Amino acid sequence: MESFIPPLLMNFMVNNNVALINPEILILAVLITNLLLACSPLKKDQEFSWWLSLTGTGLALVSLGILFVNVYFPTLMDNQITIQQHGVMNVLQVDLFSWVIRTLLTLGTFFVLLLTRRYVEEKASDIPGEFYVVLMGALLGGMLMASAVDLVMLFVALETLGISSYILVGYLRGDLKSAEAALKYLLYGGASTAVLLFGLSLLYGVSGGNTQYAAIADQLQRQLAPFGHAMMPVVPVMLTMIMAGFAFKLSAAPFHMWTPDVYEGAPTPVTAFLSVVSKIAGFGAAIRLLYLLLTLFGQWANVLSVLAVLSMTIGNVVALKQQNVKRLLAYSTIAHVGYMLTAMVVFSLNGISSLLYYLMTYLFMNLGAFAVVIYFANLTGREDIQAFAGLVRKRPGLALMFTIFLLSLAGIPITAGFFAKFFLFQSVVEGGTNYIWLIVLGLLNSTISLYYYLNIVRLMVIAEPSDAVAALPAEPNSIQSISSLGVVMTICLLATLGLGFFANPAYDLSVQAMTQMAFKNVFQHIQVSAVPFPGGGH
Amino acid sequence: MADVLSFFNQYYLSILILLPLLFALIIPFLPDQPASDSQDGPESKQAKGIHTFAVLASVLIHLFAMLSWTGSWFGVITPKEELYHWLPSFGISYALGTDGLSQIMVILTTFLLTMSVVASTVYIKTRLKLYYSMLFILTSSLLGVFLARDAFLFLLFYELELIPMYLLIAIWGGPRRDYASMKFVLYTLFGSVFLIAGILAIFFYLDGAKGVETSEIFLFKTLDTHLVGTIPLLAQLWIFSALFIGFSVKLPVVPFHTWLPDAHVEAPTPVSMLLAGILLKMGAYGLVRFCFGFFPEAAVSLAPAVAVLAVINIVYTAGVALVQTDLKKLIAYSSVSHMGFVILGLAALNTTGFNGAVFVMFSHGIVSAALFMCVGSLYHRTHTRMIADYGGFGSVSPTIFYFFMFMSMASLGLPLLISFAGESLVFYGSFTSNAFHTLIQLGKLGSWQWTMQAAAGFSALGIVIGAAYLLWMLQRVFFGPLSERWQGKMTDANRSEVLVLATLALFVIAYGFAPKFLTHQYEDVVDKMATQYQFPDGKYTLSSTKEGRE
Repeated sequence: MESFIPPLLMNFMVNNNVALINPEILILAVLITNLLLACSPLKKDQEFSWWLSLTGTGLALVSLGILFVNVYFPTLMDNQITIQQHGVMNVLQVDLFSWVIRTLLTLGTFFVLLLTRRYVEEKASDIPGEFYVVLMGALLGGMLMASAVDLVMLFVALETLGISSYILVGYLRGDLKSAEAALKYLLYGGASTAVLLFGLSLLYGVSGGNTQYAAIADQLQRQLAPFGHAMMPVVPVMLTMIMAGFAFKLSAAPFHMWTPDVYEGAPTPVTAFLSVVSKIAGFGAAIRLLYLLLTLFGQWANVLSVLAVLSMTIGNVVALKQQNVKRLLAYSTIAHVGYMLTAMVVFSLNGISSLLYYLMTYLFMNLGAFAVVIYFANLTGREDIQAFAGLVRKRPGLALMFTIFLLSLAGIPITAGFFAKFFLFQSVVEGGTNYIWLIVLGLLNSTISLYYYLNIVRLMVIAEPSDAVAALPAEPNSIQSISSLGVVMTICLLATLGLGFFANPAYDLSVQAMTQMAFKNVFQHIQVSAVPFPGGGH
Repeated sequence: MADVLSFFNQYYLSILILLPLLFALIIPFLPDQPASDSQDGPESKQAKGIHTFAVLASVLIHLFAMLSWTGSWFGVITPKEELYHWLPSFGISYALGTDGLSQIMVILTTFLLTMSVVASTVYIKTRLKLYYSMLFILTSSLLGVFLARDAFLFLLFYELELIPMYLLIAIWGGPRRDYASMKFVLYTLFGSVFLIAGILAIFFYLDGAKGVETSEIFLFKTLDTHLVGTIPLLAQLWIFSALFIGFSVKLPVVPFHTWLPDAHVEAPTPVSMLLAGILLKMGAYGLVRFCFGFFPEAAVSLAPAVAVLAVINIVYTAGVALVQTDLKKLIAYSSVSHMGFVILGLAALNTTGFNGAVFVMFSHGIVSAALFMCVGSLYHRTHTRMIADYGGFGSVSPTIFYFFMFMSMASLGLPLLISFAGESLVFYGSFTSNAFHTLIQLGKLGSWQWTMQAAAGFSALGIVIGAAYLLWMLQRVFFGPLSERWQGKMTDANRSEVLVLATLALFVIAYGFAPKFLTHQYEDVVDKMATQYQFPDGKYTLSSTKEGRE
């Protein structure tokens, strides 16, 4: 096998740990195959592209599993293997943290693929396979974002995800709403990218022309030393721009304006992708970069607390009035980003670990909710909340699952959402009494959120069936159409119920990931003082 | 045999919590109830089957719960504490345990569950399977609340109750059920905000403190031993207040009580029985366990405020009950008023007061459930709750009249009935209380040393008003001429209703004559709590428990 690879390339691969990005290479291969298939004169087959992408993503998951067993698990056992060995070509840091994020992303995309099957078939555009090419591109961008430790790499990855997302949103070419959403997304996204890029270029300048995080940290440390606590005037501008750029990507208020329109207009599986996969990737990149910046400019974490409070308040309050279930889930996403940002404010080991745990649960509960919405839309063609009325009488299982996902999003025990929220707030408390107001606001907000989640439950369980539900046949009409959605819903349901009870392994993994990532190794020469550490907070 | 017994000893508490949940899972798989069952039509065979199954299940749960009742007949099982470190990095354990206090609350829960299920066979006609499933899930969460020995687990069960209760009110409730059930949920969750904040604050202070293992932070054991020494007094005051607010939404304490009349009025009768009988006691239990059990220093400082709240609760809501035109609302307000006695007893900070508070929790559970049953039996026949629509029912429904009268007498504290014992203990406790003594010593209260006595005196006013609204209500409902509207239409209580009311009446009399049978179940818990409140000047001596008993 090895003899087929030229020795030079082999050397390069071994020296640069290329094996660590096997999943990415797999995804890239699927992307290119799909692209070639779409361009080739062969028979165009949407179904085949779907199977290919699904298999590719599944193999990527397997390859991630192999990586865990071979690379990360030994690392967990033996601390002697340093993280430097996880660097790929000096631009990627493929450590346990990035493994967790990449696994979540791949899993999320795997589910989204299962969700898209019938949707894309029905609304197939003239170029078969194109949807999957772009989706794989988006996943690839997200995976690279999670490991990028270089400004250029970060930007390229970010844009790969971004541009792919614009295309995905506008996939329904005949649909006016989809086109509007794509254009809005493109304009907002483009502007925010410009702002972020400006911020990154300032960072590049301030750090004396370095693009690698470690070198930047090193340089900044030296440059800032003479200034003491006083800052270079350019620093506030730079930080504001970078934070604003990420806030756009994460749809944190007040940079959330695009979210509802885009989520409503986009094809529903794409909405699910944006609301879960894209957010996880954003958090992955933000954690890495902001860790670097917040260790030096710790007081800027307070800006994040403003973003957090605004996001959860605006998200929850505006969600109260929504009539469209996709818009409602859009605002609920904004609110959840707000909760998650509270952990970024404290930026302690436990805080970020809880954030990772939150992302895990969020993946399952939100994708589960979207799966139900898509399933329902497939059945009835409706997306307004009123259409769900009386669902329990026709499809008790579906209604029960949706109830559990919604209650988990609201943070009601015994679902994973409750545990995730509790851990998140608990880790914020550890950061000190200064942040107690943040928690009280967060808790009050989850009280508000229960109203609109419960409203759907109320409609499904209590209200008389809507005309859409009343028109449903008594038994599921075709087994095939549900099977792929059913798989997603079942897995998400099990995870939503199980992740809470078995939170310990998931959380321990998060802690290990965070311990390995930044908190010990990448910035080892930086004296970490600005950031409160676990256990040292009081 | 011995093996079986030791197995049950080991896992008794978990089984007790899981048993109702098991029934809740079985019920959906019973044969379907035909959709044709309407509110008043004859019941189908399947519906009867579901009812019978639920009754049997609830009786079984009650009998199982009675196995650990420390009496000569029942004390077969001595349950062991269960401890499993669930999420050690967060200090969360799955810890269950029981003591006298938990035990009487568990018995009250399962007993009222049985009563409520029997009542349901009469009053609930639609969507039976969902109904009973929700009822049994609710029971599981209630049992969990009373048996949890870990603050997080407590919170988990405390919030778990929310959704089943919401659905019970929202599906089977009256015309304004949407509003009432949503109000109930939002108020409760608002209270939980303070509970979670308080519990997280406890974590903040105990994490890393000397002698505290991170994996055991939330255990009651840890809270009991380490809380006072570790947390600064000011923080204790804050946490006490947060927890107090959290529990007072559930109790409820004025001004957080407005959800309760709405919820009661809209809830179906069996659910009202549970709501008044046990759900309010979750708040009271939380106050006893957490606020007054773990925060003695804060409790001493804040007892005056609590006493004032208690007086407002008792007198104000009694006054509000006086002017109600809706029969169910009247009983709901009387419920709130009686819960004031619980916090008055707690504010006394002595054994007698605590004893009384717990006794009132139990007695009110039985009496209020019976009263709501009476109201329900009237509503079921007339489909109105307005007192003005009633009148003269004494002649056509003598059995309902008899039990309503009897339970009203119990509620207003007639001697030798159950409430009398609890309320007199509370009065005695608060009148002899030295709860303000430390403040007097500090010169902060000066001539206010009679405040506690004054509080007790004012509260007695609540009893007087209570007698007034109950007797006036009885007069308007049962005396006078029978209106044209009900001529020939009014019927008397049926067998199931008599069964429920008579069983409840039996306990009202039994514990009224011999309250000691109840108090000796929990007095060790209360005594232990009261030992925390010996005041430093030496003048204050623990009042002997003998005075408190008959």
